[in-house]
Amino acid sequence: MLARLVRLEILRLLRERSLAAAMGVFAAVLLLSALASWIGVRQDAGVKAAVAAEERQRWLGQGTKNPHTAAHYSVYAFKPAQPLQAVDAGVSPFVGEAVWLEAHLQNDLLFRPQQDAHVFERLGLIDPAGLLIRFGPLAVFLLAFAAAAREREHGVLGLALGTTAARGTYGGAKLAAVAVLSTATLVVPIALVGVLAISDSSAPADDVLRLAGWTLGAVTYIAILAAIAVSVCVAARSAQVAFGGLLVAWLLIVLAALPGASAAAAWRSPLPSFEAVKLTVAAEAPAYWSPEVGAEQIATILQRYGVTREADLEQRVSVRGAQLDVAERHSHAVFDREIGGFYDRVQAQDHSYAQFGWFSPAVAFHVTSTALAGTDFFHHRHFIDFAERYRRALVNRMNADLIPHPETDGREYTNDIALWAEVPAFDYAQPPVSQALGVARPALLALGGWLLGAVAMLVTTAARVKP
Amino acid sequence: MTSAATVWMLLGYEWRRVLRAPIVWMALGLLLTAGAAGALNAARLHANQTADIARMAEQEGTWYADVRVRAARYAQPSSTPVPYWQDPTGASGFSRYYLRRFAAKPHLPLSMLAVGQSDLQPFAVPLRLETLFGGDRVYDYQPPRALATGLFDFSFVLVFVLPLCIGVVVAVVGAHERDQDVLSLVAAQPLTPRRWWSARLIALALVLAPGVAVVTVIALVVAGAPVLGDGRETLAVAALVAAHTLLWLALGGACLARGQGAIATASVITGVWLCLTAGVPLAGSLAVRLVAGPPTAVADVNELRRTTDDVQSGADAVVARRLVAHLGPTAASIDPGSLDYSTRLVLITEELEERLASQERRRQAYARTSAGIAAIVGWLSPQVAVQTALADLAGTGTSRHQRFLSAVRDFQLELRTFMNPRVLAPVRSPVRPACNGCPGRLTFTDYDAIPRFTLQDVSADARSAAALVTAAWLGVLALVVATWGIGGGTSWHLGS
Repeated sequence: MLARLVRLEILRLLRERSLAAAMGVFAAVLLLSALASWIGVRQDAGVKAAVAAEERQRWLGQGTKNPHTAAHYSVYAFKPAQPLQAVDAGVSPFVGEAVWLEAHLQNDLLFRPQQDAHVFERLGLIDPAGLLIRFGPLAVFLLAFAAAAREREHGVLGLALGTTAARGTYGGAKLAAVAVLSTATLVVPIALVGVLAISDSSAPADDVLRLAGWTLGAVTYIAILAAIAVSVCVAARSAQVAFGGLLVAWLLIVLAALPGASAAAAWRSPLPSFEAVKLTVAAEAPAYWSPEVGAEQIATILQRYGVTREADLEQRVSVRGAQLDVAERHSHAVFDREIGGFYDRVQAQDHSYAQFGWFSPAVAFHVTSTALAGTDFFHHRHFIDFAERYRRALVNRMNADLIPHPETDGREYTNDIALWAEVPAFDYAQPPVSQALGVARPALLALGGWLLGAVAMLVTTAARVKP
Repeated sequence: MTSAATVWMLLGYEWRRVLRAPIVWMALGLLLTAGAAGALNAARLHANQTADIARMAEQEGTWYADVRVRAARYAQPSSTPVPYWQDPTGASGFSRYYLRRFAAKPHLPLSMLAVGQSDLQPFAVPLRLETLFGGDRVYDYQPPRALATGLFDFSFVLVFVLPLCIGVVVAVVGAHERDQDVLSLVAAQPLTPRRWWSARLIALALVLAPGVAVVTVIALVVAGAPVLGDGRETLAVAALVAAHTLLWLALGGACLARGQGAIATASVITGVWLCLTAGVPLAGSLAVRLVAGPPTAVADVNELRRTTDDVQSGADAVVARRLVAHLGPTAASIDPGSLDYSTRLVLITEELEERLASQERRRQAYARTSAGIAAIVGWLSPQVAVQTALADLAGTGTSRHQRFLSAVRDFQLELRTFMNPRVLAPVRSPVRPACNGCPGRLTFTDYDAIPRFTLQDVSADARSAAALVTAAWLGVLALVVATWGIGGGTSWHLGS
């Protein structure tokens, strides 16, 4: 019975030419946007891979030089574009994509794609998931309105109710029809491009799970919206009220909810000034130290080697190398406390934002989508931490080579490719999907809660509907 | 009763009816609440950034105080040698390791009007002599997720929420008779549809346009804006939002006059809103990609690294050539290898900028193309026009930022003009130690003479005038749409 009703509803909706045309436009826009994203991500990945390979060759072919000079030369690391960035760009346009891993400094990632953008470029970001989250609800509401509100408007609601065995079946059929058509129009085009995007993935199993999870999340989001919309249309006394209710719902729980939840999260979990963090880092771990600090470093080194005079060390140890090592290790603690602490606070604010998923399904799905696509701050931080660990290992290796080699006859010690090759290539892999799901847990719970609540609302309103 | 008297009576009736409609006050209340919250949000962000600028200035002061203490210490005889890079009294060491200046873009009085790009683009840029083509590439670290969702600010309310609110109000108030099936009673009166719709729209305009303008000013006051400080800018904001309101009201009115009910009217407004808010900017972004092709930062890094390698592999020759260019033929006898790193860096930086000039020109060409398309998109989409005008009035737009970056580059060149000759001077004629046994070189201690950055902003008059041009454009559009709509409303459309 239910399946037949759903089929009938779908056919009835598809027969409405203007509605079918509108849904076709939505599907085409999403498909084009996903394809454009995918092409962009592929090009980006290709350029980054090629430049990273050149960078590796540059590192290996830098010739003979002092290891500390090599640590300053170092390498640029590029954040690889993840395949599912084609589905949801997330924070990618707003974070840097290259970092210079030089000695003394934990540099920021630079070159944010949106850094110098104009207003219209920020408004016109081509992001299929963003379009789905913000404007997809309009398509769902349009379908629900056509499916549920017009029967009352045309005075045939009583007849429609009379043909079903139970009121719940009536509501269920409407919900299923709207959800199926919406999914086919809004989710399938993006998911298909997602399949293309992961086809040449370096971690296919993980990416398949991510895409499957994203698709499930998107379908849940659509189902929530469909249940809300059908409930509003069924419960409203007139088509006008139903339309107004849906418009207000879209404005409140989707359009304004995303920046609103961001603002609320910022009030709830404020961040310290990043400028202040940078000033503290510059003061506590300066790249170049004063003679006074240098003297303290030498005292530490003498103590470590169990001697009292610098001259006793100069024959067997590069004091400058040892100083660099002391300064470097001191800076690590400062970076971890200040920069790491700041990033912890950013993640805490993201967690707070995710909890606002209980107020808006758009927020819940936004968090889920970026987490599964690998484009949220958690994944970005994962790259930052990986790059920083690589930098420290590289610089420490250079210092370790320098320390036992003091200057001989006034000539500084040098090394060559034998040492450079000991540093492995920068080879980053994103965290597994299980970690992404862990981060998105509050949002996933909220999404589930919204689904249960929306279905319960539909069941209740359908039971009370009066012709 | 004369015709004029009938018009005034009708207008008065409609005006009172609009004033009594609860949805009008609900919409204005929503705009006020959301607008004030948005303005407070922006004000908080900008207050934090202003505090950061103050902190940076204070930190710079502390830095130079320490430099002076060191300069005084190294001017005293001592047995402890100080390498050049630890000596702030030597011009070359100072230029690389001690020179500190930053360029700040202070917030304007009405900055809480729009966050604009101020959450994304740096408000203060540290300067170094050797950074290529301007200041360091830095930014204030706002949470990336917040950048992606956009901050909830007043411009969000005015650009995105306002049109939909106006659309719903116009649809509900304007289509009341049609949706209640009593339009035929109105049609039975000695009244033409054009006159009736005109009176209704004018009544709505008389309430909503000033209402939204007043709400805007109140929200700004709540957020602490000095609205009376410079009345011209406040008036420009009020005119802008009033014109924006009139445009959406005219669109709703046109739908109603042409026989649409509330749902159809709200649908049309939502559809047009969607096209103008998402469609046109999307098309503009694609146009920028197709016409200009954004510069690839990663490829630029590659070019930078390659060029740096090339320059460094022939660094001695580069330094020798440039020394001659600066100091004359006598400099040919100077051994480049004998110069310290900082001194060499002055000349290496010049060489790098010369070799990478084409990359910088590409970046500037892209910025010009992007700005040109931004202007076109602004004319095509009232949403983008209003957003841009609000950001420009607030001083948080891209155009002001581009001027800032250009001023930063000029300032860097000014710093180089000040510092580089002092760094190179000892190369030509080495200075004798200022004092016997002093570790300091004492070739540069005039720290107060180092130039400081000041941003020459566009005047408030110019900002207001630009906003008024946008307001006038929206007003003309509103007039055209209203005339077209009401001009076509020759019948009551009772059958629809």
